[in-house]
Amino acid sequence: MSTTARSLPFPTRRPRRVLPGFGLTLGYTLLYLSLVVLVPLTATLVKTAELGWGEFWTVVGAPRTRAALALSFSAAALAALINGVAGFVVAWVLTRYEFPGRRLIDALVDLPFALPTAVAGIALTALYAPHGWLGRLLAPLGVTIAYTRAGVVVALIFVGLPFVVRTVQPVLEELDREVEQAAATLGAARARIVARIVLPSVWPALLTGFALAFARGIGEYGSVIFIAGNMPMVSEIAPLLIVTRLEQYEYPAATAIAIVMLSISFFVLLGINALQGWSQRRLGPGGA
Amino acid sequence: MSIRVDAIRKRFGDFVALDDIEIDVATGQLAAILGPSGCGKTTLLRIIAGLETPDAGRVFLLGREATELPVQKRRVGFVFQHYALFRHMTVFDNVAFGLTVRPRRERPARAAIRAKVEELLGLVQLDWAAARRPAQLSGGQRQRIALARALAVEPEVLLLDEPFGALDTQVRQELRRWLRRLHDALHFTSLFVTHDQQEALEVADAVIVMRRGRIEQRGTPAEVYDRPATGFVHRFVGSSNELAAERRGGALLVGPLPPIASSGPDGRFSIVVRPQDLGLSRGGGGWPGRVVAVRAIGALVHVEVQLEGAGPDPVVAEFSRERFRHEGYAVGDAVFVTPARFGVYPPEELS
Repeated sequence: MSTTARSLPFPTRRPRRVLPGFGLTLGYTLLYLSLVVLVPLTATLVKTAELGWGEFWTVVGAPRTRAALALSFSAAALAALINGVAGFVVAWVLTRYEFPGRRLIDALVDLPFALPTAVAGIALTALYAPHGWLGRLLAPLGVTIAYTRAGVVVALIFVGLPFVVRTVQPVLEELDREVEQAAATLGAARARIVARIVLPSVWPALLTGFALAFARGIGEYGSVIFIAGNMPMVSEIAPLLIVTRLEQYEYPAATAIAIVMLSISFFVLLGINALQGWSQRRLGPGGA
Repeated sequence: MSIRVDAIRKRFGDFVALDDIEIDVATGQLAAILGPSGCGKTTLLRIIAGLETPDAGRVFLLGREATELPVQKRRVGFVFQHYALFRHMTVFDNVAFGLTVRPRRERPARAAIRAKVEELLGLVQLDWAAARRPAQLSGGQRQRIALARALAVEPEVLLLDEPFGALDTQVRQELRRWLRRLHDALHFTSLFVTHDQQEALEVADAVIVMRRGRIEQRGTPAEVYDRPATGFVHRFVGSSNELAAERRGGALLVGPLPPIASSGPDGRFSIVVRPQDLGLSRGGGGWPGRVVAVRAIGALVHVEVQLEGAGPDPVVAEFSRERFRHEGYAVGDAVFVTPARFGVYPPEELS
């Protein structure tokens, strides 16, 4: 038997796909992405090209633009960072403990998703204004939130929280409790179990949540403009600057700022993605 | 006494998981808690480890009361059925975990930890896997890592919850013999939970049989097998035939079959008899029947006999290959069945 098998050429057969429709779905994906994402982006690029390099740099390099960009990105990063911590705690409480009102809190988390951002902005401004409920308490401590950069961060924290909670929560729910119990029998105290077992397992999800909250924060407009006060060079965010340019019919200048925001966002998100892929691989196959 | 459990009770809602449980495991013993699923055996093990709190009763480890002690302070090694390894850590880090989480003052030096981990990995024959991640290992290998991890903290007692339950037969057998050798070499006290009577009989010094949150019998594997205290133990440990019978004036009646002598009160009973205690003959006394199947199972042969007028299921008699060749029964043969040794139990003891 084996002697005859040796003389035969090794058969090659094109493997059949178990899941059909690859061509169709890929085509659809490319068309959809082109219409929704690529075409508008190209239009932005084309509009920007109406400026020469020199003009482009004048717009982008202007101190007011640079300040707005710096504020947008740093406030978004800070808010996402705070949300990373707070969102983890909220997700932890919602998954680990049974208590009356848990369902209600769970539903409340989604509210920033649903609320029109302008409404959120007005509500936050009313709260943190010097005579608002919270502003009144903070004023004697010398802390002012409304109409400052801190106000920007507060608004971004509000809109970004659900992203972190909703990405971390399912992963926490899926965690094998026996793994934590194993750590406890080995003598690890609660805090150590969280730091060495739980956090590494939810880390990729936490990064995703951070990235989403960060991305949302960069583009956020409605809730911020009410509370920020929008002083050029101090509390003016980049999206507002874009709108300002648009209102002055300076379309190429507006798109130029947009292009810079897009590029920076793209590379930051790419970096976060890479980091996430790396930590995912560390978890091994079947990792959360 | 290394592990002592005193009057433990535990309920989950209306369900009584453990009802007044007492066990003693002597130092150096390897004891098994044997029972069907839902009998409370895992809950008991988790209470001993401190992973679950009893509603009443006390737990003693090495003679010291541990009922109020948190898990971290009990110094028990716990091995889970599904390994519960830290999958984001290498095998080395998994085993080292118990040592590296100690407070700085008690933590061994890095070199000492390395030496200890390497020694343990050698012991479980997985020194080559130190840099791997758990996902890259087979089930049997993972369970050995879990064992090495538990042993790293030098526990006073080792608790194993269905440690081989998720593995295939071949690996199970290999691993349980290996565990027995390891136990003998290292002299720790172990208590393991299983639903597999074969496993309990083969590995343990002492067997505790549980059913519905209560202990049915405790003893050596031979005692439990040869002198079952209840019908449940008789049926659960080892294989057996079961026949519904009635006792009237010192005679046991199975349907219309010839009666056999048995003293005791009158009433309905269940006869439990092991296949190897069932004698077959071609002539003479006993229950008449007909051979309906002959199955060769490794070194043994099972002969299934349909008794005349009794029950829908045939009874099984077990022979060695040698004896079977000598007697040579074939399907269709008329035979007589005599139970050499059997137990008579109230029917409710069996369910």
